[in-house]
Amino acid sequence: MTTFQFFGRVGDLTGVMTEIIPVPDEVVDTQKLRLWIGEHYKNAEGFQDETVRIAIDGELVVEPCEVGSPKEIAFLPPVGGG
Amino acid sequence: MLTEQPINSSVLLAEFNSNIKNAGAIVSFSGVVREHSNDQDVINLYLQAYSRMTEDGISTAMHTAIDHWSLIDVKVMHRIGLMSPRDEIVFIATAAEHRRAAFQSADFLMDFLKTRAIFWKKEIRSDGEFWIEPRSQDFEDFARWSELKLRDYQ
Repeated sequence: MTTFQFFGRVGDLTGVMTEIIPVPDEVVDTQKLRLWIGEHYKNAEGFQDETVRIAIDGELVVEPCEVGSPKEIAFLPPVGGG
Repeated sequence: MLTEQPINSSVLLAEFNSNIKNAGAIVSFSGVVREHSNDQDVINLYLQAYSRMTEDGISTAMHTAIDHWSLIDVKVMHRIGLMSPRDEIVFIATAAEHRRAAFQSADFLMDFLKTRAIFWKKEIRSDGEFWIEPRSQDFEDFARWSELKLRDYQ
């Protein structure tokens, strides 16, 4: 199981900030991850937004890259400042 | 460094002062949730952080400031969660041998927090709810510190 975190306006797309769900075996890279998570939350377009960065297990990734079997995946839109 | 509890800058500054030795200058800054934005009443401000990554970034900026300005000490406390107008949202204090270093390092840290720190900020106003992104002026302010090497986020 993987903990998904959706920050900022991405949380508005999903309706939740955190969800623990399994990553399907076929989701091997970040391109497939964006497609799958977009279908899962019925908002494919929102998850194709390249300004939304992905962090895997607390580290920002350079896409495309392998997803592996992470404990946590986070979707991070541009920051808003403090 | 991050807290969901109210910030009391007077208490934080007193604690900071009591631990400082041999400083010639102590500068502090308090940021407050504004009461109006875009000519609308602000009802609440909601701030999200990605705790570990947010704290790592702020810690990097603090160490950058300590090294660059030879600070004696520095403190950053940032509130997250749901806030009301006039609540204190951020407290920064810097201590240095001379005033210029204390002023400039506090200025740098605030510019970092406004543009690079990993926060997402939603204004809940009388005309709706809006995710807020930095203003162009905030980026221009941070560009003044381009000679300082920081881990890049975006």
